[in-house]
Parts: sequence; C-alpha cells; structure tokens
Amino acid sequence: MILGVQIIGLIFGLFMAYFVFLNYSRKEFSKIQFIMWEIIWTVYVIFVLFPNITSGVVHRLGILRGMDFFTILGFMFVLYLSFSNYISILRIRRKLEDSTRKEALEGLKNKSNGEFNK
Amino acid sequence: MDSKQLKDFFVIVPAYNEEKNIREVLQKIVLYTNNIIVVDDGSIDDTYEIAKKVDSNIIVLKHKINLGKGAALKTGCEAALIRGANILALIDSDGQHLPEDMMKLVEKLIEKKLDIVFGERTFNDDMPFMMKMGNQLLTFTIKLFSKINLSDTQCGLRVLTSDAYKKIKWQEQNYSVETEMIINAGKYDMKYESVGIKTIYKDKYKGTTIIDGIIILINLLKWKIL
Repeated sequence: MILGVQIIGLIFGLFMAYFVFLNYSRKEFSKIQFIMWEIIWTVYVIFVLFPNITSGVVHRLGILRGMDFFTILGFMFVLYLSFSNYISILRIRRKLEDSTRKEALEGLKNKSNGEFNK
Repeated sequence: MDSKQLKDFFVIVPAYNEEKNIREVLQKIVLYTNNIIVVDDGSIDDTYEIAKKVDSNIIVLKHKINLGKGAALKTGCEAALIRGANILALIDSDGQHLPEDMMKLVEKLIEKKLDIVFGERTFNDDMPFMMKMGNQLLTFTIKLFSKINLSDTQCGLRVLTSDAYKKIKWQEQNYSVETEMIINAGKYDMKYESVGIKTIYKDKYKGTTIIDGIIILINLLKWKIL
C-alpha cells in the first residue's frame, strides 16, 4: 500500500522530472545535463515507491528506516547545492565587477580629463 | 600646505544616488585639488550628469550597474594609479566629511611618513542611533581581531599611499570595505594614525547601520579564518 508521504514524494519527483524536461526544451540544459537530472529524479521516484530496496544498505549504515536514509541524503544534497551556488555566485560577482570596472576605466589612460568627460 | 601643488594627490569620491549632495561636495573639494575622481556606482538619478558639470578637470567614471561602495572605491583607486597617484584620499559623497579635515589627514600622512591615516568621528547625539549602535558593535569586535586600534572603524574618510593601497587591496564590494581595509592594514603592519574629524549627518538611512554591522561581523570571521 502506498502511504500519503509516498504520494507527496511521487508528485514532487514527477514534477521535478517535468521541470527538467521543460528546461531542456527551452535549451537551458544540454543533453547530458538533461539525462543526468532525469536519472536523479527517476532514482528518487523508485526509492519513494519501493523504500524497502534500500533496507540492506540502510541497516548496514546503522540507520533504522529507509525514510531516514533518504532525509539524510536529501540534506547532504541540499548542502552541496548551497555550497556550489555560493561558489558560482562569488565567481559571477567577481567577473561582473572586473568587467564593469574595465568598462568604466576604458580610455582613461590615453585621454586628458576634459576629453575623458566628453 | 598648498594642496594644489600636490600633483600626485588624488581624491576618490564613490557616489550612489547622490544628486542632492554631489555638486556641493565636489565644489568644496575642488578648492583643494583638481585631481578628483568620482565613481558613479550605477546611480539611477542624475549624479553622473551633475558631477560632470561641476568642473572639467574632475574625472567622472561610471559603473553601469550598482556594485557597492567597496567596488566603486577600488575603481577610483585604480583610475588614480593610472593617472600616477602617490597619495589617495577616500571621501564620502554625501557631504558628511569636510575637505579641510581630509587635508589634515593628508598633512599627517606626509609629515609622519605613514602608510594610512584614518578619520575618526565623535559619537555624539548627532549620529543616528542605529548607525551609532552598528559602529560601536563593530569597533569593539574589530579591536579583538585586528592589530589596529581605532575608536571609529567605519569612518569613510581615509588617506593612504598608493603603495599601501596595492598591499591592502580589498575584495569586498560593499560597506565591509572599511573593515577589510583595517584588517589588511593590520596584516601588513602598516604605519597608521587617526585624526579626529567633524561629521555632518544628512541622511540617517545611509551609511553603516546595525544590519551592515552584522554582515561585516560575519565577513570579519571569514577574513580571519580564510
């Protein structure tokens, strides 16, 4: 029997798989990115529907329930994403700053003050 | 000291939406030097146009987008170095600093052969409450973390040599720049002093508030750890 929480998990997984497809259709994802993300969400849906398939690994890790294992994995994934986003934002910010500065300083070397302000 | 003869002395004025104050500020500074660099940090008002009209000798640079005070100061300093600056004065564009105080800092830097001179405001009743709280919290914490001992760590009026700038070049784009400068100056054992200055507060919602203080505190830990 499927539990309520599994239904929520299933809807979420299917929605995310559709969301990946949508991004791929808009050409925001490459084919490889599309396949990688679809695999992730398919595996997620399988685990949600058949939580017992993880029980062997789960018990060996000293975790009681498949759901707990899943929650731990989820937290780890979210932390990884946050860190990866943080690094990306830092990089983009630095590039943006450098390019804005370069544009602001353009021509300063060769022109006199009066000429520069024209 | 006749500052007009100081050819390698440049004043950097970062400005963001300061159309009300920029003209007056620049008109006062121009009495002391022609080497002025204004960096309009992506203002959405007429700051850039007004600054350009004050004096043809003033260099007015524009950031196409708003990056923050730290980034604007850095652009100004880089521009000054291109123009051969040896002494850099950093002054706010909201009119809270007096150019005569800036000259006191320059004199002290030259006389005592220092690397950097910090302006120090007095925390009287004129300072908006939230700004005062933010400043005092930061000043207390920075004293714990840095070799530099100042009673006001957030004052934007500073004068430094171009060699000092090259060493302490900051990474922060926002109001954390003042603190990063102090931490870096401490790291390089720079010769420093401070000078008491007068301050006029025109806008109690600008400058370093308690929220900026908390952000700077988080950054402070980052600079010390990383």
